[in-house]
Amino acid sequence: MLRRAALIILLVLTVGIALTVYTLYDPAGHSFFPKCMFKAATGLDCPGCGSQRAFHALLHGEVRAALGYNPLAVAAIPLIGVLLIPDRCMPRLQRFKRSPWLSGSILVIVVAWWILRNLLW
Amino acid sequence: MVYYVILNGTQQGPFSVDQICAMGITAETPVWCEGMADWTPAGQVADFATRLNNGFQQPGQGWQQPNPGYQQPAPGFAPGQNFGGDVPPCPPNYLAWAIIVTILCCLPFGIVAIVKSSSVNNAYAMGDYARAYRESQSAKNWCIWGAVTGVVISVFYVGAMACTGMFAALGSM
Repeated sequence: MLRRAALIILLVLTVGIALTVYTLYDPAGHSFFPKCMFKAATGLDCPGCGSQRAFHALLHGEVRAALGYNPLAVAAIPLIGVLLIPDRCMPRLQRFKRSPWLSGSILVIVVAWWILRNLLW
Repeated sequence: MVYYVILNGTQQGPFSVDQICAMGITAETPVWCEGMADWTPAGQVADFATRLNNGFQQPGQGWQQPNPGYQQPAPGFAPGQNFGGDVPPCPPNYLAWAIIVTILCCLPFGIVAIVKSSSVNNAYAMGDYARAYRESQSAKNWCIWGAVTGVVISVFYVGAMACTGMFAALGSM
């Protein structure tokens, strides 16, 4: 119980700090934001590249710009929100969250996006 | 073998073991049959003790045959795999965390976690509950490793940038 409370406090703190930092600073203009290791090593974009800039844009209400940086990251936010709803709060969602096609299609979309963004853009 | 029983303060009987069990006795209910020195709690009488230990302890409920598939898994099934009729809950697939790790930590770890997470659902759908549990643990571990690696590298990077920035500022003074 205590461990759970500590985890929740840690999570709230992390999210709070992250929201503040990503609202105040633009990752495109400041060098202290962590860089993608995959991109540093290969020069190619990973499926998550651009999500820091996308979050910054979203926090300033610039949805179109955010979609331009990384549409996958933008689409992932509501999905993650739904997946994190505890089962006991919304039992009807259980089937959606546990369905094999959901995780399967996410895998296909992520990998397809990884390949396509490097080929097309 | 017929027994007498004391229920609600009154002696009743003779009844068969089945009949007495159906009356809703507990391990403390006194029973007696010919040959016994005195009234004895049912829990200490062999004929009743085995029944009571099999989950027959709810007063007021009739004697129920235990689910035959429950105690003896059908031959050919590995232990923990599929106990006919007794379906365990689906283990968590950690899909949300797998996506977070994939997008934020920029690591192949997240992709592996999504693969594992999808195996959890597939294994569970096929009734292979032991494998579903193993894949669930595996998905959790990949999420943790991905998150830890991502956080450690980010902290190092931010620290390194802060140091270079400081030296640059000192140098320009």
